[in-house]
Amino acid sequence: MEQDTISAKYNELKEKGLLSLYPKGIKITVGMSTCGIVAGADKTYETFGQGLSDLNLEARLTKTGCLGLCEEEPLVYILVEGKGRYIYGRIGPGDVYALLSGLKNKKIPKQNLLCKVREDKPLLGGAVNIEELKQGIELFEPPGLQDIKALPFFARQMKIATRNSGLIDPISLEEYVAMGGYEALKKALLMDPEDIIETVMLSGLRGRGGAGFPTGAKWHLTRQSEGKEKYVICNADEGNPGAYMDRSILEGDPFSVLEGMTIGGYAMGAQKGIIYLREEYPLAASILNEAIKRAMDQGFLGEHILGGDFSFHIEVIKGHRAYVCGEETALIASIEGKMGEPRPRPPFPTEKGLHGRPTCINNVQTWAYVPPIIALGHEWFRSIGTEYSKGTKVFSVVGDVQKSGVVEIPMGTPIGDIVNGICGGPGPWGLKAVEMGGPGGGFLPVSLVNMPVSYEGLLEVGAALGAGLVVLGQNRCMVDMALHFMEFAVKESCGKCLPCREGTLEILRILRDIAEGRGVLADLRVLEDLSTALKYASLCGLGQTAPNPIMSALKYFKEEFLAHISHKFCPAGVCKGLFRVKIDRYNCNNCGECMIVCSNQAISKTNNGYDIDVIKCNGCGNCIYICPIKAIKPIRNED
Amino acid sequence: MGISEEIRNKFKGLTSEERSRPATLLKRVQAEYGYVPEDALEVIAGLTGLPLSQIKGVATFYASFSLRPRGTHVIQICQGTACHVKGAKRLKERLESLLNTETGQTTEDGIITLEEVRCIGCCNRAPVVVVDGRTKGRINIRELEPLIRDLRD
Amino acid sequence: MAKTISIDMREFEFDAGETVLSVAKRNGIFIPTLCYHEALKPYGACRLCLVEVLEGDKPGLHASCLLSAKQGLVVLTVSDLVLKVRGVLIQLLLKRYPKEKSLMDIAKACGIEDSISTLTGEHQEKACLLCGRCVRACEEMGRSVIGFVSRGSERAVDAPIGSHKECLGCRACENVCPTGVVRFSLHDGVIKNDLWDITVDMAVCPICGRSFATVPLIDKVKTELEALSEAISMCPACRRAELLKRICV
Repeated sequence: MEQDTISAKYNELKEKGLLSLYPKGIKITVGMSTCGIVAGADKTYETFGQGLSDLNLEARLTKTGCLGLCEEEPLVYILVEGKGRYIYGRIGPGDVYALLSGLKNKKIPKQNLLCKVREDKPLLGGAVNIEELKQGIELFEPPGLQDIKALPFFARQMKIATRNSGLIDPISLEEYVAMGGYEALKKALLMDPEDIIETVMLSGLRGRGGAGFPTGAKWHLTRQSEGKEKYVICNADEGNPGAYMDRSILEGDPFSVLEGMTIGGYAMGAQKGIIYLREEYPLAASILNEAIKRAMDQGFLGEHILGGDFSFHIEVIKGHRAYVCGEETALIASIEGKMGEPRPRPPFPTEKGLHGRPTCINNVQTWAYVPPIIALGHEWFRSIGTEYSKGTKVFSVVGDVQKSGVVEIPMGTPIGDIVNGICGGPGPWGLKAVEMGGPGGGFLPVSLVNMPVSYEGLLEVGAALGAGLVVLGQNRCMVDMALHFMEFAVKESCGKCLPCREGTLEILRILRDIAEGRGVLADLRVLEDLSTALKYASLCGLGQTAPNPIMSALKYFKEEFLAHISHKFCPAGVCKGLFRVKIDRYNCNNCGECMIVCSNQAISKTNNGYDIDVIKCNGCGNCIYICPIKAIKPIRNED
Repeated sequence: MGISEEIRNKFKGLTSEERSRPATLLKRVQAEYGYVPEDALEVIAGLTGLPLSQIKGVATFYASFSLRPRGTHVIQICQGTACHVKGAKRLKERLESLLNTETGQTTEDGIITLEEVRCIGCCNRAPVVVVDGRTKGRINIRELEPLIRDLRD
Repeated sequence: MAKTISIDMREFEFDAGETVLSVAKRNGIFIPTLCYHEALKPYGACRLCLVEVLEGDKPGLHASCLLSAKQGLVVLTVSDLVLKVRGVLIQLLLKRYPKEKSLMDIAKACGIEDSISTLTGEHQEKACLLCGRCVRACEEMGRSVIGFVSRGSERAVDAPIGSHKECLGCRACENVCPTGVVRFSLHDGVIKNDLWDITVDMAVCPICGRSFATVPLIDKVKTELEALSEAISMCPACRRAELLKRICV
């Protein structure tokens, strides 16, 4: 295809895209990623459809992905021509008619209104001033509306990998192109593949899966490896428990990953791309497949991309529920139809990967960074972040936090800023620790919580970058958390190598002893020995890092382990049998929640409030957990 | 028609590439029957030309496949980290006692199978349970009894 | 000049493609092994043969059965870290299979027999240590009748019933098993494996009536011979070589 023809094609798509992004009149958009749907967005969407016809209101009804503000799901966006985009939170089916009748009466309803967007600033395209876009319709807007940029949740974020999520219709190629999408591919296809790899290398991009291997170097190795057939793989087996940022990107902006992979395929000389997607993400699968189909229809994928010599296909292959398949060699075995067992490296996949051919495996986020890096240049990306960690990082932030969600921040941002600044802090119990890196990571105690996000810094304190952030309040027990991660490791170990198969089981047995009051001091020493063996002797990363959460908990919260061992007391009131409960009558508000959740009917209502039958109490701790005002406290058994 | 023949018929219409992938075939069987009957393993070994021992290995390695029949309804309780922090273990124990069965097992009447999943990536709605494929978020321990009652009715 | 590697501060020559384990064995340096077997491809799963690399490759512990010898490589087989990790691994095994004799031999050779008496666990006279030698023997020389099933601590070796008819009765699995838990025994006209409940018919010599090989093995040889009828025109030495090539895959 001639460059002129290509430009004309882009312009046509862009025009269509802008028209559907900013249509005439009113556009109602519902956030329909998985968290949205679980919060009820599908019913909200349906009700809007019904409502529009019932009230005879003219408006376009569309879907979008995840904006990241998951706490406020279902999110609804109302774009009013010439006025702005209004973002509403927690819109259930019951709120729909009130919203619609407000609009019908030429008013912007105030109920559940979070903020207003006056201007869209696409990373890869020009700014769009919504207020001045078109002549607009006259609607009354409540005064003093907060701009989205003023919300603490968004003010400190920098959206690169999540640039389009929650903004465009995920499966609209036209809207993607209107936001500057596929400009990078157009540019890349005119470049020498070696120059693309150099750009990625110079950008300083490192693997966002956690290990942090320089992406450009991986590409270089794959390109250099001999063989006519090569593969690029997107590792979308986001198995770390408590993390879902990759899902958010796949569901919200699939084309960014497809474009990144296509550029990678061209640069490395691969003909085939595979997205290895975990089975637990059915929505992401259908969105990706639809996006692939549309990209092929428009010549952005398939034979002779943009009319040139380069052909590239992408296929989605689903996993079958095994955490270990996030490990490169196990992932390859799984695609080949075998048990997902890692094999020793070398040879590395870049040399001998899928079906014995050179294979480059990158994580979802890593692929999503590629188009902006090619479009805006390595200098731009390098300018963000710390010395050894460039660019931004996407995290899901969950657990004991006021505003859980998906956030993207520049590398170097203090973790405390994410938890307290962006996500509104830990809530009533106060902060105990932040868990980072999943089953291969660790816990940051309050004293370290202000350390900046970076590969090098986190490694030093025993945490890791690959997973999300799980915030732990003061009412969480660290022995129990260590136990949780070891249960995970035992159930997800593939069992091939001896240290991981037998070692995790032995560590779990010891941790159970401690949590159930049978621990002895010598156990701590054995835990350390076992951890050392696992770290140095295991075959793959899963086994090598499996002891990290235990080592980290022991390092920063040793006194909690000692309390369990020496005093048979769980200070947080989590480990069954290692505490009694006491109701603080003075503070109790008599809500009665504790009586309802008691697993042994040990709590009864008396004239003086609620009473616990010490004999009947089995120490399950449900009451401590449920009490909204912390009026039930764990005390030592002998006290 | 024998079950092997029946299973073979279910694979009609698949592309030759799909027929060469044991996991794809296992998934098809699992979706059709709710579990993977022993006979299916031999059919799949025959179709793919792979050793039966490898097919059995794959079918037992991955949590997606069950070689035992499951109940009419399946409750999956998430034990991911976010759910754990939000009390998922308590929910699991409560479910076990309400159903009088262990996780991974089916109730005596064959109606409900209780399984655990280790994170379905819906962490901001923690704790979550998946009932017959539909995810329910922010589950309160008190909602479990009516939930089970509804399934039994 | 011949190329050398350093093992425990001594220099040794090596052949192209040789592993550190093989160089060490050839020179009488002890490294414990479990999943390793001369006749099989190295697997690197038991991790007992770990050595510490100081120079010439990524520093740290490597499985010596997979580590290629190359000029300038410096390894220790008895560094503090190796001994500590090896000790933990053997203890883990002993804990699970306290009565397994082959394991006690390994422990004894590594000098950690003292702690054995204090260990408790399920008492199994002969245990499967999941080394996977039988699985690999069957894959490499037989017909993949047996394989691993399940994962993690539930991992086991299993022979699906439908695959029993494929068994040649070659007994390679029995031959490579380090503990003797894989065993065939001769019964009335059949050999039987109790572990997987496999039975293979024995062939009987039409002249003297003696059982000397299994029926499927003889069938296999027959088929190979038929395909090689031209072998009759070869001299005995070439015929032997050609036959061996065909029969032993």
